[in-house]
Amino acid sequence: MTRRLFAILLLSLPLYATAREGKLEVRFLAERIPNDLGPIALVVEDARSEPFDLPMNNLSPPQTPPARAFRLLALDHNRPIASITLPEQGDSFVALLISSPKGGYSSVVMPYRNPKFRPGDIYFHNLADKTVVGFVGTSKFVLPPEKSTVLTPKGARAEKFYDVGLGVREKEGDRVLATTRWPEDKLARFYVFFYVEPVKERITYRAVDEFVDPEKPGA
Amino acid sequence: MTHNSLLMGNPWGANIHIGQVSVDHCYGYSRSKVGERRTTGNPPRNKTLANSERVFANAPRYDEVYPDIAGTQQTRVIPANSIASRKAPFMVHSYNIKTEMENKRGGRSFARFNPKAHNVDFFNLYEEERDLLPYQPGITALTSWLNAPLDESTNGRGFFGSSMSSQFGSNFVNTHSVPRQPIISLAAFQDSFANGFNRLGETAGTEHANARMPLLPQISHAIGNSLAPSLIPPDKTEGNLTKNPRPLADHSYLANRALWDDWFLSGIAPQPTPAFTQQRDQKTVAEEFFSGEKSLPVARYLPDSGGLESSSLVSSWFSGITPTQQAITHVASHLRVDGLFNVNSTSVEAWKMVLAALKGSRVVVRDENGVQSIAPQDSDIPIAVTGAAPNQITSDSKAMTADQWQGRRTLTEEEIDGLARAIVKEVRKRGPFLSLADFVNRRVGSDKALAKSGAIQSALDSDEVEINKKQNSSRAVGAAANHFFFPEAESGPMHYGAPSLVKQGDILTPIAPILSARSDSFLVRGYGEAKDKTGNIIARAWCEAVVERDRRYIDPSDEATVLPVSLTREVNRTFGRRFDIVSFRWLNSNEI
Repeated sequence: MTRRLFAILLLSLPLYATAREGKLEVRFLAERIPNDLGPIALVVEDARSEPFDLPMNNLSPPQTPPARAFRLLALDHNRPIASITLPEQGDSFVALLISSPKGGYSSVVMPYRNPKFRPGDIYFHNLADKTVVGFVGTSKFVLPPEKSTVLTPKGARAEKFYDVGLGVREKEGDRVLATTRWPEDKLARFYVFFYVEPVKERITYRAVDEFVDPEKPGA
Repeated sequence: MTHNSLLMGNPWGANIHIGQVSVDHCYGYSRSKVGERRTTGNPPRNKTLANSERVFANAPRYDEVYPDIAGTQQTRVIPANSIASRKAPFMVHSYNIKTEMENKRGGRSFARFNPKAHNVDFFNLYEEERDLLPYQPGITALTSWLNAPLDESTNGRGFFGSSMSSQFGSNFVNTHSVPRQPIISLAAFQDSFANGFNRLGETAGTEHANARMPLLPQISHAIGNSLAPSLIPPDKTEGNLTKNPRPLADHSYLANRALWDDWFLSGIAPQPTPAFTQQRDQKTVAEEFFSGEKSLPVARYLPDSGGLESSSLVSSWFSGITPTQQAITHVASHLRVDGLFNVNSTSVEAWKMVLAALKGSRVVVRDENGVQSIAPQDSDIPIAVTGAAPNQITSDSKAMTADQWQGRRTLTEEEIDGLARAIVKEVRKRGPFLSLADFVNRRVGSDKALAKSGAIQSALDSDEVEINKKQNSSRAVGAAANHFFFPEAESGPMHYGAPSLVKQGDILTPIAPILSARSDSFLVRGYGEAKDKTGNIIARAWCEAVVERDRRYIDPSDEATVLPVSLTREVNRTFGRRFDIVSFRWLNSNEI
């Protein structure tokens, strides 16, 4: 069964698409999605993109919005779930969709080709109600609620992994969230969302890989 | 999935598998050698099974273990070119010991986790098997290495106990002690293997035709404890799995029955350093004890040479410095106990005194490097541990904390008082106990309350005892969360065996050497009166004698070492051992 699943994943999916010059495009990643969301489209008045499924475990293929300012429409429900305005500069973006307590999503838009978010880097976004702290190798971060940061890990072990420590800042001191190891990987960027797990109401995290081409020497 | 085995001897002849874990996903189709057909080589084992006899992971009954993992909520797109030069995970196939938090089935899995019995075979993954075994296989989707549930500390240590996660788990889990010196209490055997063995007969598709495996169910602390196995009806001590006829045994009950009334530990054992300040061999320990120079580790054991010269007595038991078989069978007849405690006592004060026996004792502890030292005296009463525990006092707590898995408990006098009262209630419910095993063991029968656990364990679990109350109330699994014959036996804290949870065996360890199911000393009072011809009382007299049961039989023709079933004299068969009057006095009327 698992072998079949793997084959389906490999064969039925398009090859990784690189950014196309000169055409406005956006890749989407939702921090979470409701089970019944269904397909969505990017709409501006009567214009709309091709429908697509909003992913939460990888970035979507590049989508072409009708304009720099558009809405995401959940087609099954005919309901807007987010409004996004792309920067005037640039034509290829990543839009992170963060669940809003008011319903729908708020968005974080960043350039797809981002010199501050390079292969091997980790984008942390804190959706929890407490400050999160941590280290990846020798690189450290402190992330207040509702804030984000990009970390460039350093200090990998010879075995090509980083020692990782994540914690939550409490009144009594920092509480361990996880001590683990993450691989050194220059062929991906990583998105890590800290959030409060709704059932047990504990802060936890979830990571998403974005496979990217290796940086060319001198880039 | 194949077998991971450490084999002793000829792998396919007579052999023992140690530390084996098996999930026979493909059983019936593997080959002993590459290129070999299963119909060749070793015919008894090389049986290719028909599809109807094989099991497949996508069968509906495996939905919990091998669920479909698909869809945008669980899986991700892996572009083909992204894995041209690297690997990307899509699934974790795990096989782990159940923890408090990662236990898909519920159940008191730690009560069935024996870290010394890793030889486990999932035969069919039916619910009873998944409930029974303290291990669980399974798959979960994995969308990034960063999400992998493989927490470890920077020194490479994993996490266990309450959780496999670093947030709730522990790097060190101390559920069993390894004794550093000869043990002196039968209850200290709670840390032993005591799981029995099951020699499998060969059946089609079985890869363990000659393997020896722990007899099911696995058990964490057999001896000295008595938790009913929930797979066996309350009135039975043996049974079988229903979906696969593997035998089951109530290891605790059977081991306790075999041990507690036939064996004891004299403490006449080699005394190595550093556990003892002076190293002495076994014979020297015996000589110095019977000559009255030194006491035994159980100081209330007293020598009774029966009028024999101590040196000749000891010499008769040793060949060189090695004890003979005669020593094993005769030594008990030359020991007396100063104040055996009758477990049928219904005196709360008496039980309190016994239970608080370790008050003021200093215990051996170890630091994180394993260096042992003697801890400062505790203000409360320490719980005995056979090995040296980290000197970290843990407590009854609702929260899962690392210290509960590696520390040690102490009990307050209030807690001892509550336990003594609860034990007395159990004695009244269950007594009189006819033997020590009867006291230690659960009461096999239709009364589920008595059948669930032994007297002390039932007292510990009663509502009026505070010792484990928070853990019992907040970290217990429900009785209905399984498919067992005796579901009530399954209710209780999942983390049974953790140092934070005081067990019957912990209570018994320090007091077992002085326990008895009978009394050997009696105070006897007599009364007599004289009457005149008309029936008037003209004189009264009262007397009092203290009598003690002696090692000798009434008729000395039978030696003290003769078993009751082998007695030759009728008077001895009728009256047994001799009673000696050790004191006598007349009483005044105002003393009555």
